[in-house]
Amino acid sequence: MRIYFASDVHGSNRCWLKFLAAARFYEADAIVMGGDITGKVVVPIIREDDGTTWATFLGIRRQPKDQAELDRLVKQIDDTGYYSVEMTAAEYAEHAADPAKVEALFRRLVLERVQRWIELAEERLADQPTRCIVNAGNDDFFEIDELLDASDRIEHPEGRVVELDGLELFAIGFANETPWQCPRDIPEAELRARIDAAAAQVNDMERALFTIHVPPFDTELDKAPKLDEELRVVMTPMGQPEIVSVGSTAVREAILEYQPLMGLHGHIHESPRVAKLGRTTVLNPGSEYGEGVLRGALIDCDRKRGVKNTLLVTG
Amino acid sequence: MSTSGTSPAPPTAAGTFTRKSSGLVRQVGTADTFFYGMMQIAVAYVVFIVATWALYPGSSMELATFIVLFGAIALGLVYALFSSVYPRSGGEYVFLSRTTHPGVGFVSSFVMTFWQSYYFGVNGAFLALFGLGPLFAVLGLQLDSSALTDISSFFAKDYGIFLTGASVVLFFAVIQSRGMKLYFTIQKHASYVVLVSLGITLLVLLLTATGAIDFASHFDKLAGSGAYDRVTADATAAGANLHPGTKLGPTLEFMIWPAFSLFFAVLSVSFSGEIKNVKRGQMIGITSAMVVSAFLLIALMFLGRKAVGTEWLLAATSPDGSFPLDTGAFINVLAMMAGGNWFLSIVEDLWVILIIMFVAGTTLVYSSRAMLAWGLDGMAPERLSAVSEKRHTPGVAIATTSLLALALLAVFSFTDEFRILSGLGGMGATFFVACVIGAVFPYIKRDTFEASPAAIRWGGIPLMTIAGTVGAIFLGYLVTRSFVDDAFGATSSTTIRTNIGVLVVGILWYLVARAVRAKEGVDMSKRFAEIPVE
Repeated sequence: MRIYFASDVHGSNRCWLKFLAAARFYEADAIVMGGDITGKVVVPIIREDDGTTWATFLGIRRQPKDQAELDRLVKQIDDTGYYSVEMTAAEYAEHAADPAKVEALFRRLVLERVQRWIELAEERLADQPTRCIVNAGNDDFFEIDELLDASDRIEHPEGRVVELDGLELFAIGFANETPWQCPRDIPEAELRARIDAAAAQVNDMERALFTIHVPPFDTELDKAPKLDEELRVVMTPMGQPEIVSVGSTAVREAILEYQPLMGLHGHIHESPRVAKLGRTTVLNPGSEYGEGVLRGALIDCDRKRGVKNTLLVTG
Repeated sequence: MSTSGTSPAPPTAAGTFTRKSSGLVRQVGTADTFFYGMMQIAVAYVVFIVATWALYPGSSMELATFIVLFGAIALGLVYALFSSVYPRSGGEYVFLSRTTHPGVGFVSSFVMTFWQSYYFGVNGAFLALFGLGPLFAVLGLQLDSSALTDISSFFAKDYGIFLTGASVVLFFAVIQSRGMKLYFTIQKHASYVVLVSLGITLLVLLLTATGAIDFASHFDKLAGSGAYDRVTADATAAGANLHPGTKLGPTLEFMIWPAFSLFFAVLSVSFSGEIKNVKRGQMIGITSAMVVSAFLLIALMFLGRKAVGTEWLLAATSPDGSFPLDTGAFINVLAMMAGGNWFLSIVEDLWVILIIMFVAGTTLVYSSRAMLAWGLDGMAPERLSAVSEKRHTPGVAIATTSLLALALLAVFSFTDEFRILSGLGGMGATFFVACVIGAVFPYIKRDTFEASPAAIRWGGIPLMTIAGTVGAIFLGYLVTRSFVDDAFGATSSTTIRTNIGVLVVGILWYLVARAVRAKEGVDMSKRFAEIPVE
């Protein structure tokens, strides 16, 4: 069977539409999303009293001349993974002064988009036999789990095993703690306990796919720029970011101990790689959601021969 | 990445709201970008740039550098803007693949990688020819030591050039195989030494140019009484034109030399975070580094010329003239002689030695990372992308680059087939393609362009189009000149055949790799193909 695995689309409409189209394009039997499906930025479109609108998008002040230009701007914002919202200058000032209002705004926009994406999946995959598996990541609010669970087209295997043409797959969306204190950041010990609980449901480790959002520590999948205390990238004298491992030690130890067929990971956008950890093939397709580029991995595998081919693709 | 429990406010861009999410980092500042850009530019190449000036009678070194600066800035803008469209692309390989065809991206990367490998070893040769050889020649005179003069002669011989280059190749292969942290630590400290050494050299040249130091007497003291005057007299007697005036044609032709130094700042891959913004700071940083480096080159040229006298410099570097030392009349040689002290000579030559060394190191970084990317993409054997679990370095790619560099270094050292500028045509062609694609990018990928921070317009025209057009004009001219310049260019049949051969092998490599992967059931045409969205 052929699995298409992608991760970290972070609210990008364009990437989600590509994800749904990937089944046909790559002739995949299953499409799997490894978490972090929600966005991080809201772009307010300010409507002035005279009816004109403007927004600061990607650092450039945009002033749509008519409704068509406004629609195009909204599409660009949504494709980038940001959330556009119209408001007056006064409303913008109120939000800017009140973090609780911004938090509430984020939750509303995030949940609306996830619900819309689920509806899109149900529409576009209706006539296809492709399995569609979607899990959350450490950046995603817990509320999206309920939306995913309610879908009869999307499978949401957080902490539970689903059978996939003779293979067994489970997903863990939690991650070890990050400097940003995201919704699903947890201590390593707790992460290990969640992996163990899911692994206990697996019958045959040699045919198991561990879909764990965070990659194993100290592999080529978990390299990210080193940050200082102000979240600035620490650079080398040559102007390159200094790279360090930021993956999970719990995930590494679990994979080395259980030796599943594959580990499918995301989380670290800068580290697209396929590697070996013991006998296990581990991969991270990376992410370029902000450019509307969907990074993914094509995995040809079956119950008898295990992994036959892997190819990282940018769609 | 810090994993402390503290959680600073996430960075945001003006006019937007952000929430606490992983990966939100702050941008590199303008000053930092400027510093990194400066580190990429091989200012030390001024040593042979000045030495070739006499081969272009009627040219102005300073004016040529000033004019070509506009081409360098245009090229820098194209790369900076492309990196803001595809911030994680890592250079022309990916952005050319995505905007045109995967074959174009791969072949461009292949050509650039081959010539970067060439300059890995050849910069080692430069160390012997322009750094160590001249230093020992001057020290031999200053300390009246024939042993030091013999060492200088060793660095001028073909096996001396090869052994020095090979030592540099092996040094960086070992250092970079042991981990980039060690490499960057060494380079960081070396950069401070470079700043001090270069500052002292400029000061010595300034004092000599203003008459505080008498170059002629210092020269005569080392080379023998009346030696300074004989240099001019011999060249005049041999028919050298020491008063060619200044003409635009030769000045434009001379541009290939400073271009060779300035253009490679673009090989620095920028990093940007997820809060994308118009990276005016980054563009300012990159272009400022080019401007400052160009003016540094101009200052070295001008002060060097004024320090020793324009006529004398032309005579000393003229193919018709005679220079009474066992080394060329390079600007570092002249500055060391002006300094008049053996210790000062060592200090003055350090910037040349260290910059040339680290340009070699940078070429290895570029080449080995490109090979690693091919291995990852299935365009080369998977082993090429093997990374040491212990050191996290691409050992096979480093070894492959080093072997290729040694082979090309041998050709450079033991034959006359390859010259200093042999690779400029091939690498310039890649830059030319990038500029042409940059010029049309806003029109062929309109949606991507409009939804990117590169959507900047000047007078209604995309900045990318303006920069790409200007860059393409400069690059087209310079690439052409590099293949027809008989004075000291890359016109040997071996160089031309190699350039054509590298291009053909790159194309064949792409086709074969695609066919092999297709046999394995992998459709490489979908590697970079955009998934159509209904």
